Amino acid sequence: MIDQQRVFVRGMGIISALGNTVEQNLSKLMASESGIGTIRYLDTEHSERLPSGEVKHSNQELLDILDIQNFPGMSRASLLGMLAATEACRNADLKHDPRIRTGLISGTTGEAMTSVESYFRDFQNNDSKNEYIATQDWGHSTELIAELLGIDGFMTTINTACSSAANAICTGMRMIRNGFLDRAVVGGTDALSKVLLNGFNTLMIVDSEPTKPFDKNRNGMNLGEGAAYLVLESEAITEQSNCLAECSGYGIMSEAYHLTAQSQSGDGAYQSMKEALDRSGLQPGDIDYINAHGTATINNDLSEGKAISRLFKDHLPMVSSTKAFTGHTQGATGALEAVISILSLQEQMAFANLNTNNPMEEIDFKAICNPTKTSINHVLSNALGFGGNNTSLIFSNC
Amino acid sequence: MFYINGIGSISPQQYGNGYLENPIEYIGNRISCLKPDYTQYIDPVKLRRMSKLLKMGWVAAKTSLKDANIEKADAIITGTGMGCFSETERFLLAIYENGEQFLPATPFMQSAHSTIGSQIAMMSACNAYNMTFSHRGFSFETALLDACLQMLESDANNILVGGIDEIADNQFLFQKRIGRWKQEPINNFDLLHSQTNGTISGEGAAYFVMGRERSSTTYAQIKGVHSFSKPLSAEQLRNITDDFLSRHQLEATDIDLLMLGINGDKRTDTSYHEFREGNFPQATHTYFKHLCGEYPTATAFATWLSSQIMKRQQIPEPAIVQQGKNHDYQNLLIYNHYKNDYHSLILLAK
Repeated sequence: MIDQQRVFVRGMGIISALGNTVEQNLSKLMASESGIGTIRYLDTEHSERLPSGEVKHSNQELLDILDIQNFPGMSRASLLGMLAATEACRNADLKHDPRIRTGLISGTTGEAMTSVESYFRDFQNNDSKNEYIATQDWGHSTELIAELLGIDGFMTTINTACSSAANAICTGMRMIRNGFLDRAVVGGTDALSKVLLNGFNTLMIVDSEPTKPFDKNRNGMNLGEGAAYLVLESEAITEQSNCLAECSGYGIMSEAYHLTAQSQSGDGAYQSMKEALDRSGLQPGDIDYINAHGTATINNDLSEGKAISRLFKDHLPMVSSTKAFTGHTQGATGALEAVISILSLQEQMAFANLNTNNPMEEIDFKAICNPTKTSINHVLSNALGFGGNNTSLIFSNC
Repeated sequence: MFYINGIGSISPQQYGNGYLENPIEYIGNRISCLKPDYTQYIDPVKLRRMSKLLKMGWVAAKTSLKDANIEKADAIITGTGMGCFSETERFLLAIYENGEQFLPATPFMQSAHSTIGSQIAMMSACNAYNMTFSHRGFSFETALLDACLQMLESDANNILVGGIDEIADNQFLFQKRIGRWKQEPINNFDLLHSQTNGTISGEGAAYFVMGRERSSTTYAQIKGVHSFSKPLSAEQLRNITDDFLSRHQLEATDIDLLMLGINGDKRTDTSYHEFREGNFPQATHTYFKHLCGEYPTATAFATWLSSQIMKRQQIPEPAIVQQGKNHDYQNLLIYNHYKNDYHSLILLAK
């Protein structure tokens, strides 16, 4: 083992159904106002039937906010990503310094979907949408963001389904800890797409009502879209007094139980949370708030709820899922919830788990129904993906 | 860095005794993987439900685990450019045909790229770290880099690292539309001297057991990997390469074997020739894309072939571009670029 660098969060940015900036998202979280509603921009038969967390702007409006022209191969996920990443860098007040090795690591699961599903027939039949052929892959939005931010060093894209962005944050932390990078912009982006909406709907895990995480009568997720990025820096180059939080631990494990489900015992989430605690040198009693993955599917909440009950036993912290605010933002979810977790540290407030009136009986805690002021020094955030790709992150006050 | 202690590959080539003995000649602009006897690796019930890519991934992974004499790895890291995209396509076509109702679940369940790694984890009962990188021509290289990180920060001894991609019918046609493939049929063995635009489409899966320690099954040592965006000039490429080699206490004259990503596209092969000509005087120059075709993770096939060469100290005849004087292959350098945008160097030692 080499000397490991501590890793700090220097800035952050977010766009979601709650709003376009950290400030707008925070005010909705504090007021317990959900962003879930009728789908307006995605062209789908389900727009009236499946409430979702769509960002409240058309692509043209997003271009206008970014103050850029439409460009070849433009995708909604890339626009969302560009907005959130720009805010993160502005917020960190970054000065360009060629000596600082800077990387960009982004997570996405459906980046390519929106253009593919719109133009697939053209790809098959004519040359009119050829500009989109080379961009129907997962590195596209990452490279657009890098170009916008002027990052020309290390760059990669992670696709591990719903844990993609959490794993991007993890990878950035690990690279800085081990001296591969000094600074990393990390996070993820995903847009609503017909493929993902119908895919989850086919698995019968999308609710036609507002989602109810950790409720006895929960009936699946509302899908969402959005992007969020953090600027991470090593202790060697950062100014700790200007940092928002410390990245104090992470755990990644693969449950290897089923391609799209988790075991009822929650062994996967248990292990990833335990590993995160071990790495951070913290005890279960040190965690003050858990921002759960809490997708409100029968399977996830039982599995994750049991894992939390078992690991934290007599030291159960406050727990909530904020999915009822933003919807499940797919591959980006780990990044959005990292921002929300850091906000909970800054505001000393655990945000509400909306819509839950009848708490689950199989688990030992009740998700908190109202935003709650409390002392928060350490917060844990879970992202649990398809195939049991489980990731837990711990952020601490610095 | 670490040792390659087990290897497994599915490619358009057949392997006698696990090696490339009689490379296959193809005429056309698309070469596909030969289908192994999957029933030897997967039980029939599972086999029916698994997509082609998942089957390829598992067989390559299992072959490498077996080769290294281990049951499961301490981490699984996959690089894939296009991942399980063909399953997304299947699902999308069902939407076009049926509308947004009564859709098949299986293609969607197998459409996340991480399904490849998850499937390997499930079939080898491996609960360890599992990661999937999907960034065009850097996907496999980043997986290798992540394996380094794992070695640094955990006590993992055996890390399964792979590169995997398939070309589905639709994608082949779409890429043809934008001039990726040769318009005329070509013999893959003539790719080296081709003077036309475009290349031949390929695919493959190659997994490796990377060990902290040398073992009785060791093929070679991976000393370093470096990926970088398109260099501005031949001189800049040369400087990047010299820097990379000097970090490993080597110079260009120490390289005994060059493995180049020449793919027959006259628009972009120039960089390989500028790279090799006059620069590696001792080395035998070889290439590999006529054997596997072009795809985002073709360097995984190159690493497989290089591992074999280093262990056997013997080069398959059709891979040779220019014979060098030295027949003791101590240091091997792979130089590849994908679409001339994604460049990488991988250094292997005996």
